[in-house]
This record gives sequence, C-alpha cells and structure tokens, in this order.
Amino acid sequence: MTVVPASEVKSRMRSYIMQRLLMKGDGAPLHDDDLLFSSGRLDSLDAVELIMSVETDYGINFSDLGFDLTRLDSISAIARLVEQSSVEPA
Amino acid sequence: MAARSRARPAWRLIPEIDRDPTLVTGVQGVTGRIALCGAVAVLVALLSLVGIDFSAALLAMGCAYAGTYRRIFILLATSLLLYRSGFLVDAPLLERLAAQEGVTDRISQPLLQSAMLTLVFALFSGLLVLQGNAATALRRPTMCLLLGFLGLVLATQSTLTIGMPRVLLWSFLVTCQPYLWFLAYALADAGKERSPVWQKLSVFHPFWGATLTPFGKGLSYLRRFEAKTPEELAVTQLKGVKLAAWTLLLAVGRGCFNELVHGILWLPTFDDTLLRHIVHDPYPRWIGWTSLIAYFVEDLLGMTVFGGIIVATARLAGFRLLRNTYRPLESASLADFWNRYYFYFKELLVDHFFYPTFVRCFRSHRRLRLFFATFVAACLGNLLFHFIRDIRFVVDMGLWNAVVGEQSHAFYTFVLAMSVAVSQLRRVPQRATRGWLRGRLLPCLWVCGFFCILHVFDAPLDREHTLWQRAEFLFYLLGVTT
Repeated sequence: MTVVPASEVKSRMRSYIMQRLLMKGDGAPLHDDDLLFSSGRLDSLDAVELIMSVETDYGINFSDLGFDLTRLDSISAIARLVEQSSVEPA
Repeated sequence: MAARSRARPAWRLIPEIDRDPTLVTGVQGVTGRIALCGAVAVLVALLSLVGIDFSAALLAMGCAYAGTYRRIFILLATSLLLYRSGFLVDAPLLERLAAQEGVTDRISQPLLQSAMLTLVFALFSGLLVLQGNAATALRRPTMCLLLGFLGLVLATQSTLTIGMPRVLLWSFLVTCQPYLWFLAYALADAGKERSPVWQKLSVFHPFWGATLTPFGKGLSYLRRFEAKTPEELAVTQLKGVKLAAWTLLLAVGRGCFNELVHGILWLPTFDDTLLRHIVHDPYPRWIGWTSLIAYFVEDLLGMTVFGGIIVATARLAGFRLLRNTYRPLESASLADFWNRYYFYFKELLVDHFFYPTFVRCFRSHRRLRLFFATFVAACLGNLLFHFIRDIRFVVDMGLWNAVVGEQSHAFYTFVLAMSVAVSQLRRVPQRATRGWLRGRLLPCLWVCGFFCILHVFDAPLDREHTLWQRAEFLFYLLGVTT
C-alpha cells in the first residue's frame, strides 16, 4: 500500500467533512483536533459516509482493524488511522 | 445532532449561563461553588415537588469537587445507590420462581442474591481482564455475550434444570441482566481503555442514572467528556444547571398537559382506548385519535424529562454528556427522529449492531450494505434488547409464549427498521434553504405522524395484546372498519 502523506489526508478529509457540515447548516470553523462525532456535529450516517470514503480512497478494511469510531473522531485521528494502516497493512 | 451547532436565537427561555464569562469565572471560586450548590439544592427541591428525584445531583456536586478522588467517589456513590436499590435484582421474581420450583424452604434468598452478585461481578472482572489482553480477547465480545446470555435462557427451559438448577440459573441471569449492556461497552473498550477494572465497573449503572441503556456508554467515552480544567468543569456544571432548569419546566408542562387532557377534558389514556376496542366497546374514533396523539406528546415529554435528569446529573458531576432527547419535533426525516428521540439507545444499537454489521457485510454493495446494517440494528438489535430487558416474561409465561408475545413489538421494529433504512438511503443532505413550509413543517408533520401511528404497535409494551388486535384498532382509527 502506498504511504499517503498525513497533510494530504488531512486536507482531503477537511474538505470532505466541511462539505458535509455545510450541508447541515454548520459553518463553524473546523480544526484538525475538533471532535466530529463525540461533539454531535456529525451523526452515525455521516460516519457511514466517512467510512466508505476512507475505504474507497485509502483501501482500508475496517473489519480487519476492529472498528472503533474514535479513530474517525477528528481529522487528525483519521490521518493517523490512514498512516498506521499504510505502514502496517492489516 | 447536527442542529446542535447551529446559530441560536438571541432570546432564550433558559439564559445561556454557561456562556457568561463572569459566571464561569465565578463558580470556580469557593463562594461561587457554594452558590452553585445552593442553586442545585433549590432545583432538587423544586423537581421533587413535581415528583422527580434529582437527589443524585448532590452526589454529583461532591463528585465534581472530589478532584483526584473523583474515580473513587464515583465507585462509592454508584455502589451506595445500587445497594439502596438491591443492585437492581428482581427479587420478587426470584422468590416467585423458587416457589414455582418448590425449593423455597431450601434456599435463603438474601444469601443466594449476595452469592450471585459476588459471582457476577467476579465474572465481569475476569472477562474484562481477559479482554484487555490481546491474546485472550474475544473478537466479537457483544455477540459472544448475547449468545452466552441467550444460551443460558434456553438452558433454563430444559427438563434437566428443573428445581434448584433452574433457580440458580435464573438467579444468575437476573443478576447479570441489568449490567449486560454496560459490560458490552466495557468489553468493547477493553483493548483501548487501560484503567483498572474497578474503574470500569464503577460506571456500570453510574450514580447519575441509567436504564439498561448506559447513559455515557463506557469509561473511555466518559473520559472524553470529562472536564479536565476548572473552567471546563464550571462550564459543564452550568450546562447541567441549565438542563435541570429546562427539565423542570418540561416536567411542569407535562403535569399541566396531563391535567388538561385527563383531568379536565376527561380524555381516556391510550391504553384504555385500546382495551375498550379489544373488548368490542370502542370509544368514538375521534377520541381514539386524540388519545393516541396525547400519548405521543406525553411520551415525548416523558422521555425528555427522564433523559434530561440523568444527563443534567452527569454534567453536574463533571461529564459533559450530550442530551438524550434533543428537539425531536425538528426532525426532518425518520432517521433523524430516531437519533433525536432516544440518543443513547440509538447509540447502543449503532455501536453494537450497526457498525459491526456495516464494516463486515456486503462491503461491495453500497446501498445493500447500509440497508442491511440498519435492519440488523433497528429491527434485530432493538428486538433483542427488549427481549432481554423483559426477560421476566420468560419466567412468568414460558419461553414460547414470551417469544410469541413479542409479535407486535417485532412488527413495530420491522416497520421502524424498514422506514429508517429507506429514510437513510433517500437522505440527500439539503442546504437549509428550502423554506419553512417544505423544509421544516411538512417533513416534521410526516415524521411525527409516522411515529405517532407506529405507537399503536408499541404501547403498552406488554405481551397481552396480539398484533392483529392492534392492527384492528389501527384499522378502526383509519376508518377501514367500524
């Protein structure tokens, strides 16, 4: 698996998540460490879309990882997940 | 939940005390803390006047100020309240069962219950230790837990367990049952949460309140919401006071509504209306509709008040939990209503049924994958949760009758799951510019109307009324039959 730079993952994810937040009328700023699901800004259906996006874009199989939503709970967490999965494919 | 972060109107019924810098600073000092405790004591007194026990809020204030001893405080407060409620064991059920099995004179119920509690908590501790070790961890802990529980329920039906073995098995099951979903969360967390086992056990039915549904999930979830600084604690506690005050208003509103509907207008309860129809002496159709709508409103208010008290107490203890019921009447879709109506139950189903299914099944079929995972959570998970919650029916009615008695609720969960799944598949996030009528009012009316009608199959949730009796009642309401 190709190692994707964390900055690229963050930039892509920020744009994707911002888009979903805007669709919900949430235009508040979004920082890399802001909680997405724990804060209630995104819901479980957004999680589903996010999972599918990460699976498609980075080839991650969540069933192999042992699914844990906290690993998607911020842009930084998603970047870490992608980085770890690229280094140590399950 | 997205609406939680939207812009708020300038005027509010409950002032935004948590956003006032003077107050936030003030309640961090000794005088401010005393004033806050006073305000909480007033709320405890006022809520008790409307029949709501908010006394755990006083324990919560102690917990918040316990500093480094907060974990020990939680353990002690939780143990104290559990002790006061007999550790939630259904003792009358076990006494009835002992009499049925003819072993009443051979066992001491208090001794048996103490022994079972010791055994159950020792077993929970052992499981948590094993799950914390990668070599011995179960890959699908919730599934194993549920299969184990249901396997033992099946074993109680065997002729081999007649008499004392059956009493012992049921005693074990009834002792486990109130903690089952707390254990499920703790097992799911065990790999990432390295806290001592006693800390994990201390939030099994935490003192701020819960049902079989954990409000605040497990320790790792709570840790994320725990106030880390004096300022965070002040804001969290002020949010708790605000929520308690709002809950008080809703409780008063609920009381007035009940008085108006049942006291002044003499409208029968929904249960009465259904029962009268079953015995072929129905009320007029319009009374049926009115009682159904009144029941829907009472249910919404009841759920908001009940969850509000628990979350307010948790916030006063320093845990900034999300509200359980959040503006359900603003829901624009069925899936959104479910999310807003009973958040922690929805989270339980999502965490233990939806995500595990979603990440494993039909991975290459986007829509089928979403549909199936929603079905597993909203229908099968929902049904299983209620079967376990009402496990006493198996003792009282036998396994077969208890399962058959689920028919109406099974239909309810099936329709709910299908509707939520379709709602999720159809959901295209819309910009909030569709206008008030099309964007807000019509979707809300549709969603509320749907859930209101669906209540016919869910309330009262007993095992007495068949699916057909309830369907006949709905046909009557719709004018299909007379």
